[in-house]
Amino acid sequence: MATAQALTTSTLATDYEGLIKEDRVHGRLYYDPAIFQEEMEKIWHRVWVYVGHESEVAQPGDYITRRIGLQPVIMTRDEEGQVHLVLNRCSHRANMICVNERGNANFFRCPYHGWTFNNRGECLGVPFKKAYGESFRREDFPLAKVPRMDAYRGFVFGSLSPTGISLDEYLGVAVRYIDQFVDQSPEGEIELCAGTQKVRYDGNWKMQLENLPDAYHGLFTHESFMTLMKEKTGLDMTLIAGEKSPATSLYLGHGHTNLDFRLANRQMAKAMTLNLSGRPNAALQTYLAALEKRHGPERARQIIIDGSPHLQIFPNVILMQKQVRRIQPISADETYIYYQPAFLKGVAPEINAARLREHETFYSPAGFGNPDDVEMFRRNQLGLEARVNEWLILRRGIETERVDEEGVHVGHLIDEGQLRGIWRYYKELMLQPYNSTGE
Amino acid sequence: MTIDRYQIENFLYDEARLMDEHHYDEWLSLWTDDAIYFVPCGRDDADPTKEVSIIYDDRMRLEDRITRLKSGVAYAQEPNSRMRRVISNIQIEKRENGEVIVNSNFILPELRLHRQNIWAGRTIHKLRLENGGLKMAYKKVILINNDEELPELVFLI
Repeated sequence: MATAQALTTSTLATDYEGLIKEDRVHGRLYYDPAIFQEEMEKIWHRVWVYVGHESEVAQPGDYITRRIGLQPVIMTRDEEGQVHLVLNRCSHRANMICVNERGNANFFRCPYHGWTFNNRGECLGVPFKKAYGESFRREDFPLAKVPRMDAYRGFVFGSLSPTGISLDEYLGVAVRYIDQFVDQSPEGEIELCAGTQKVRYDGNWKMQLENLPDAYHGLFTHESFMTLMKEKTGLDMTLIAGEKSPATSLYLGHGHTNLDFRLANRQMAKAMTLNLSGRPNAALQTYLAALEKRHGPERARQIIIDGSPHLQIFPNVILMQKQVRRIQPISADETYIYYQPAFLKGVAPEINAARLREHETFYSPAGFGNPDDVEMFRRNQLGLEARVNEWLILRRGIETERVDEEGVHVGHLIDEGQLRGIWRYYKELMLQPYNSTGE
Repeated sequence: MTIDRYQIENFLYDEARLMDEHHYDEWLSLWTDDAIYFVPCGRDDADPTKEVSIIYDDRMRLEDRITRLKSGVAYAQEPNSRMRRVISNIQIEKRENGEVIVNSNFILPELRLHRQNIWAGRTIHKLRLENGGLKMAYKKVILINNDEELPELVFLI
């Protein structure tokens, strides 16, 4: 593999300066399998990647299996309550040691030759050990650990690079929007315990990455939903999501973005009473009361009006509305998306059930929104086959974008400064040489 | 007046044809006012109050679903899928309070924009007589791949 990589870089190095300009990017970035492989190494197997939430391994012995980029990992919780990230590969002959998506186990036994490991990854047993010789110590053959692991408010991230900036530094100001999401719970905690909707599409992973911070598409791709909303509730979505919206698009650094709808939501809240649609009133009162107990009446009301962020942590996790969403690249033209509705700790079951129904309206393979996005990703990939002029344009707001005192790039909601930010960071990562991580 | 097997089979075949041919309003008229249309996600016996679904529609959301499908701008069904489903293994599970619970299998080839998907699963219908005709009060569709990464599922299943 190292030889193949060296060949790629020495003879066929991709000219990322030529492919990524401030106001446009080249179509090749979305379909070239060599670029996809390079992204795995230089982005996904290097930066902090979201793996899972601590609530998914709530009990000692709980585990889930995920991938960091293309590499399979197991996230476990040991008997002392400690969370671990190990590679899902037997240290003996490389068998995937756990094929279940989740479960509870004190140890993992490889079905191939019976090597056994505890949920910290330590090797416990090697059958017929004698033949390995006197000097053999099973302690020298643990499951490989993900080199770095850290968590923020229950969100566990792993980095396959042994060196690099801390998670705190990586997330930067994005943490305040993680807080906005989690603080909707009166106990300040969310739980991912309500299942996962799984979606696939024939398109590059960056189509989802760019779609999430792109508010411009909403009024067109989702016209059917916007029209339905207007007919049913009288709510004119263009006031929130269109040119007149007071909402902003933010580029937060390190590829992270947020669409800050709080100003729009506050304006709407002034015009209407608190929107209680779909929520049982008594349960909502209890929810409000619980929030007030923790934060006081003013802040509690603010939390409800502000709602969720529209946050994307590069390269793979989204916190918005009721959901935590993960992006899983498969190949240059295939991607999986995982939606997990988040339950709020400390609210009545009716509130969480109503969150599920609200979520399903738009987000599901059979929802009123997500399938149309997926359809656009597919058509996007088809359009990329036209190669006379291969540029994709990213100019919206380029003359009005400003940078605030914290270095956050601020534009209008339906501008594209946040996408330009993602591409600047992408280019920075892709221009770094392989093995620049101290290996 | 009991509901006989012949009526039930005819109902299921008629419903299948309406779905295959995108006769949205006629399909909607098969539902009772207390309708529940349920496609579980992740596992066959998921509890919709505690677990996310692929579809969990009451009457109001069913109507919204149909309104959207008829809008002409529900792009994941523009153009429509071509479908011909086969309903088989029909088993009457039980009869109570004038209602009948029927289980059946389906296999559904779906063709859209050069790609053919094969969908399959088991359906549970709760049927009752209303104004002399059979209606659906509850329909649960158990896809064999409800825990897999799915493409768009915007047609009627």
